[in-house]
Amino acid sequence: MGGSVPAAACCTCGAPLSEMDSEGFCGGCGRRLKRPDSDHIEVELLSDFAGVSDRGLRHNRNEDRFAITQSSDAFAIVVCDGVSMSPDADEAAQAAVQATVETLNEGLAKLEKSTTDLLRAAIRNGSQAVTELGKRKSESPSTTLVAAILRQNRVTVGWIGDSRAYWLNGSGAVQLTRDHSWENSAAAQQAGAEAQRAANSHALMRWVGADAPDFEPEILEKELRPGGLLLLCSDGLWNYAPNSEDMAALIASASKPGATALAVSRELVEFARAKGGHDNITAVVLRHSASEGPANGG
Amino acid sequence: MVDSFKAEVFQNQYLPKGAEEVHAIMTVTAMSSGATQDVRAPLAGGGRLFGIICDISGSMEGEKLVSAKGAMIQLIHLLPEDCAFFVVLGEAEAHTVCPTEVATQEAKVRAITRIRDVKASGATVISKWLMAALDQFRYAPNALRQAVLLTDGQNDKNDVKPLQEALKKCEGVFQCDCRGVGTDWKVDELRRIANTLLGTTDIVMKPEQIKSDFEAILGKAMSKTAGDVMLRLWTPVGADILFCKEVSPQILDLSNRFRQVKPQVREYPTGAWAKNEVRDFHFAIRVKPGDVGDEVLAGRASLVYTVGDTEEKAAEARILAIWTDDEAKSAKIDNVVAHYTGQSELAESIRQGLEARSRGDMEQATALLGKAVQVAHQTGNDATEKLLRNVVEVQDAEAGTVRLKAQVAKEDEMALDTRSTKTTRLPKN
Repeated sequence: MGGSVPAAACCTCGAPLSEMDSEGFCGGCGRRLKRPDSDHIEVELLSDFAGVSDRGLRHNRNEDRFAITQSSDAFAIVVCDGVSMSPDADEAAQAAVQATVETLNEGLAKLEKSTTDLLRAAIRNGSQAVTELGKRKSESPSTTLVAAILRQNRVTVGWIGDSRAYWLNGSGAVQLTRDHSWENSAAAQQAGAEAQRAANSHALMRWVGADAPDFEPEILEKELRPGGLLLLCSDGLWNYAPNSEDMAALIASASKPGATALAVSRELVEFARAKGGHDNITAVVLRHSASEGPANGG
Repeated sequence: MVDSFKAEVFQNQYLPKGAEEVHAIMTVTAMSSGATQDVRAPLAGGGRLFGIICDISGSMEGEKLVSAKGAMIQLIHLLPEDCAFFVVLGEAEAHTVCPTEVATQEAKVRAITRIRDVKASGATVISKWLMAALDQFRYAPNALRQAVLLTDGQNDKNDVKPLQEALKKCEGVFQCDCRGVGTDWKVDELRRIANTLLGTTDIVMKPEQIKSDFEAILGKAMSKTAGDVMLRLWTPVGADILFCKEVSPQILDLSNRFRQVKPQVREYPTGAWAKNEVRDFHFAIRVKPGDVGDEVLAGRASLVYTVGDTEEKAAEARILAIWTDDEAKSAKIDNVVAHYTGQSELAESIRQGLEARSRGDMEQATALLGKAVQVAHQTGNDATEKLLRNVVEVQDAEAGTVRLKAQVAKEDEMALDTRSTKTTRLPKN
């Protein structure tokens, strides 16, 4: 005791770092000393396959999560954006990503199901995990979910909510998903253009959670001409490039010659932060070489 | 049995530059894993001990004593056989007519016979009754220790100080719901006893209602499975806890009831909990103001309780303060915090309004009770609004425009007073 100096001290109050709690708050003055790891997540599987998720500038924590995986010639991506209006949205996103990617990993290794069936089953398991989470709480944590499998020249995308998938090649960008937003709902179509400009036009119509209207994902399968880039992202990115043309231009400017998928993902996240970073931002990039699948090694 | 708790915090974490007051509501739910409680002998390290403390002073003579006896006898019949009980009958002295015993058939018959023989006489000296109950509860330090106290009159004028001292000794040893029958007792006096002993206070308007009231109290007491649960609150160095209140199901200020565990850690008593019981707590903490962008943990709350012989901690919840220059964020008041701020204001308006009315300040009373009607109406506290309507004529509930009634039944006024601390929860949407 007498006169011993703590090895490291808190920035302002002098309390030892050993008293910091699991979330990084000082045990003396309560100041946040360490941001959680989830503030900025980077995963690089291959030079052509990587993703970045970032808290952005305005939200107090990152409630986006993603996972990427590879099994022989198949590549899979899951992106979830926890609905910030719901409690513990980060837990919802985490649970959904984890259960979905686990099912995909098993399924891709076994090759028993069609890709569509596998993706459907994986998203169902992801939804189930979030529902289970809701049963233990008085309110329902919820999240969006978009998942994609790319095998040879075929991409399969499944989604619930407004996280998006894009396919980009020399001739521009195609948005593969269609947001489950009020704007795109039948009611909005009937209400006409005026209503579509209304403030709530981006309101989520479907999500994953114990209180969700249903769990069936929308599934799309598409043959691809070899050579292009698959992007999955949360609205923290696409809000700053809402149209396919904007997105195509953005990706083109982010794809500097020789840039890895990780570098492109970082550029996209940086772009959203520079625009104000109002929401959490996630961008996952899979480059599909003109020959077959992502080139290894870069 | 209750073997865990979960907590949720409602607050706006964002503060404008220079702000230093952090408000948060913590909703706590007692959870059960489904494990059944060990069957233990009630007096050997666990179980329950329920005390019946009943006024038999001279004023109880007649219908009140007849009804009270009937209610006690029924309550004893209803006691589960794995529970222990005792009966203290009180006047100027306390008579422990049935010392602590397991509620076997034989013990119940013995107790009932003794209660039947009792006659009303003497003064009301509540300190003596509580001390007699305390003696009994000391037999069972590990049991769930709960009691009901029934009286019909004011405490003896010479018993003010002894009552204070007795309460100090009883605090933390047992919980006690207090009931006043008729209208000759004092709300403040009984409420002070019940609040100190973490119980409820209510009026029993007619003697024949004692029976059903006792039944409800016993039902609630027997549903409790975790006792001596403490609310532990950590705050940063230099922070002040402005208040810590239970705000649902009733308002109970715990601010001065803490035990300082460590320099930054206080524990507040919450008594016993039943399975699935839900309570809300309101914390107000003053922290050193930070710079824009700073994030500070203003408080960490958890529940501490004992399972078997080990201390458990559960439901840890964080109360945050983040300073921002974004007014849209800092100006928002969390709707749960707003709701309970309103409920506290409602109770306070009623208390002060009735006080003003009794000292003849009708203008003040009208303003305060009008305000109470408005808040009760706006927050959907129908039970309180109904009680208010017995005391005032409401012209416009939305605006809080009322006129004091010229004739108010004493029991209506007392019912409003005792029940004003009952709150509603915010409806889930």
